Amino acid sequence: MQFLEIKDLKVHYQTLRGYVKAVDGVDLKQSRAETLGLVGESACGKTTTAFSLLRLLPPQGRIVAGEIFLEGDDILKKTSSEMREIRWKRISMIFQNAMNALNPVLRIRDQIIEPILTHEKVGKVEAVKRAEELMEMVRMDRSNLDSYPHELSGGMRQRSIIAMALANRPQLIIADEPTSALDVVVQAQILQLLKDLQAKMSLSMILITHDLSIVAETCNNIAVMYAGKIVESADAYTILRRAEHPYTKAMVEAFPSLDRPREERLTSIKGTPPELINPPSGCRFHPRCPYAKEICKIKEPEVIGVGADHTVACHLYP
Amino acid sequence: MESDIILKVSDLTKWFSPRKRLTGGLFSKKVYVKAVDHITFKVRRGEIFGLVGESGCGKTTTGRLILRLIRPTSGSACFEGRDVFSLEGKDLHRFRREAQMIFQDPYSCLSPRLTTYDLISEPLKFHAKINEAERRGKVIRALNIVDLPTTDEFMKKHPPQLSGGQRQRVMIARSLILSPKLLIADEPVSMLDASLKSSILNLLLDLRKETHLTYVLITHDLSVTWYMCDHVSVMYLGKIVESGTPERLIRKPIHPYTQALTSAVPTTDPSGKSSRNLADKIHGEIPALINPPSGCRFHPRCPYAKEICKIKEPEVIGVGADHTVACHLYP
Amino acid sequence: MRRRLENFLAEHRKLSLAMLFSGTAMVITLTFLAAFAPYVARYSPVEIGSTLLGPPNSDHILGTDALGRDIFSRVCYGGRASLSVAFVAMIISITVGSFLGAAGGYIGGKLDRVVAVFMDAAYAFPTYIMAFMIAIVLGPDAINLSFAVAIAGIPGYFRIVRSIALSIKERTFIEAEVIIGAPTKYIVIHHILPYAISSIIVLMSMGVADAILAISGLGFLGIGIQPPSPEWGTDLRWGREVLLNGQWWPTVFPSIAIFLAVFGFNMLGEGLSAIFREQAGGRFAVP
Repeated sequence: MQFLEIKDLKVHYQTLRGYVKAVDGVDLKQSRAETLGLVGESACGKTTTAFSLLRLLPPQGRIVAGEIFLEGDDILKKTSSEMREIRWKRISMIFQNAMNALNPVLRIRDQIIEPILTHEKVGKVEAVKRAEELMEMVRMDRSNLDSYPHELSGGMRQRSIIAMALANRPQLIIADEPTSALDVVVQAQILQLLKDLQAKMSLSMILITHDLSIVAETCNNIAVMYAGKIVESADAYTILRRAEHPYTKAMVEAFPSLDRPREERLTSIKGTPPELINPPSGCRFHPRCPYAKEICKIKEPEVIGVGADHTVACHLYP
Repeated sequence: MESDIILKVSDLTKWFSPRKRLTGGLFSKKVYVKAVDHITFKVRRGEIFGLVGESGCGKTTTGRLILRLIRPTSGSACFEGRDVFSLEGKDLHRFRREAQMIFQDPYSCLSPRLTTYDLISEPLKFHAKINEAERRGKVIRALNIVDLPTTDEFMKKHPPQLSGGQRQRVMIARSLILSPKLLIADEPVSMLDASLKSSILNLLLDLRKETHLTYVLITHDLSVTWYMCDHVSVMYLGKIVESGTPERLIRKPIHPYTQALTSAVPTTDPSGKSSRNLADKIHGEIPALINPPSGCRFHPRCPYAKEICKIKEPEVIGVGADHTVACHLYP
Repeated sequence: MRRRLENFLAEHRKLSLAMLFSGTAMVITLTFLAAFAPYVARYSPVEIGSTLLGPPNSDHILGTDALGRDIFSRVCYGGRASLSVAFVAMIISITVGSFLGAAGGYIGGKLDRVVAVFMDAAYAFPTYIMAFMIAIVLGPDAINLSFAVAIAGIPGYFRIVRSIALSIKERTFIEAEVIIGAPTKYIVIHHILPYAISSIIVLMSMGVADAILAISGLGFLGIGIQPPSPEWGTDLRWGREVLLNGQWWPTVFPSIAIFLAVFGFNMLGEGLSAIFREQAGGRFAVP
């Protein structure tokens, strides 16, 4: 049994401007203690997918179809009170900008013990002790527990919310752009921290980002999303060096990276990501694809396996 | 050859003093944010010069100083031999034509009330006495250069109706319409999606080939400097710590901060960087800008810090062809 | 065109639209009556008639006052007086206040700080108190009244335009203007003032309401526009005297006129303010 399995997830939003099919038939699998990278550009649906796992969508969003199995349990069929047992106990989340996730008027200590007190029957003293252990785990000095968020640096704030996410020893952590607001050196420190924590606690992690270099460094497997669909999914090496889908290939070749030769010209993808209110017919990538055929404009490609644990959705295959 | 140097920055310094009421009113000791502190560099005509560093290093302030948007505390910035800060009248006006800037956020730098045509042609109002037909011709040429449609319909659009990539191109077209000699690009692609980044970077490279523009490229992204720059200066807390070609700085950096920086940058090489040992190269975080560390500003985080590093600021020394560093480890 | 109207109605809440429409209706009615007074009113407002204090009837639809003058006519022509003084004053206030505010906010410096302090002090006085003081000094007369109301109105526009200038001047697109060599005057006129337009429009409506109140108030106290010129406040003053005799019409109708004018302009202002707020982005939003 897979640790996490998402089947045909469809999440739609009713907005003022129209009906948006933000996530339109997404399949994902993840094994225990693995890091899965979910990459894509803005508005491709990756954050919506993540929030669906916690069933924390905004009021206009609805999960219209699909199943999400966490160790065999379909989360989407759970009641509110059952979900409360899952959120922050089995699955927790790290947000992009710590300042948005932290309450500016509470000390760090109070924010970390809150999830502990909510979910476990322990007293405050015990909770504070746990908070101190968590501080150590995220490599922060205990004295920071007394601080308010604005007194800490960006990196320390991010570590604080990692501590909060770990408070109840979850099985799965969703990290939504955990480092994009940070400087390069702090980013490397935080990514290293996440990798170490994952190894130590056998955590499963889903890392959501638009940055291919981050997933290259941290993820075992990568799933590439475009316009609400998963276009390709495989282990990190395959995606970065042997991608099959035109979009994946183009993304890798368009990404400036220090390991590429300087003279090698970056490719660019013509056009822009589509509006999901009115996505292109057939394969959503066809207006920008250099290999588009007639069928691509008419029929959506199905997801097919093209190797060990390697799936692609493209009319070039099989 | 001196005539080759289009921009020479000497000992440029900008200290901000936050207003006293922030520090309690009765504070007699002056508190300074030493945003840019005695930096010196030369930019050759036609090259892409990179200023790279993390937040608070002073690179953005430097860009604004060069274009005279703020006045320096001391030092000079000579554009084609004349100090930018002493220009007046017609000379200043000519400088405003010859040196332009492209910004990080393409939305906030384009006035949403104007149409694309207005935005691109606006600079002409102040510098060229030309008639409507000529003006239109120049706008169309600018749109062509940046690969945007030249239809009437497109030219009537307002920024909110354009995509991020299109807005960035409009901004570039606007900055090019006066045929400037120097373009300061302040984080030109950091707010763009991956698929757009490369097309804008390539556009800038192509422009340089066609027009012999000189760029000062300000960015926090080392990968961008690797791809784009002929010469790079690394800044830390207001100072230039190492300066040289990208090959030198990124493949064989010698300043401890540059070493840490290049080590920290993730790449798309899947063969794993698990043995990077960043902790060996740097610890802690960037300190607050107010009253920076004494001596070498990097010393609190440097794995090789010696006694002298806490006391004396290192001087900038040449360590090879076109390669300078400011560190007590050298010579 | 129809599509735009539909979008407009859909975008805004019912309350805002209700305020906007009711205010506009009142304002348009009054302005119409005032503007076309010679054609709408059957009698001249100063013509002394034969029926003194006649109640409303088919001949004098709002009745006659103590000197036999037609009240309907006096209300219409009175509207002219109030509205014209208010509008002239408003134009002066807007022009002076906005330019000073935009220039002060953008350019800054010691002069701006000093002017701002004076403006803040002046702003503390309600319009009618200021008008009162100036009227006493200069004498009651339509021109002096315009002047007084204009001066009273300047600080309001100054403050709002200055605060918009202060918030915009650090924005990137203003920096971009400096870089391409735009002169300061150009930046102030073309890139700062336009963002103040929506706030100015709202302030205008409220300002006119304020002005009318001031004019009528002064009239009521006897130091506004003097009789025999028709003016709502002045007429109120004289109408008061016969009120206790049961002759309500010389008092009630000018009062209704004042009420409609002030309420109408205020509603218009509130409606516009709500509508500008609801319009996300768009041409008038401050970026």
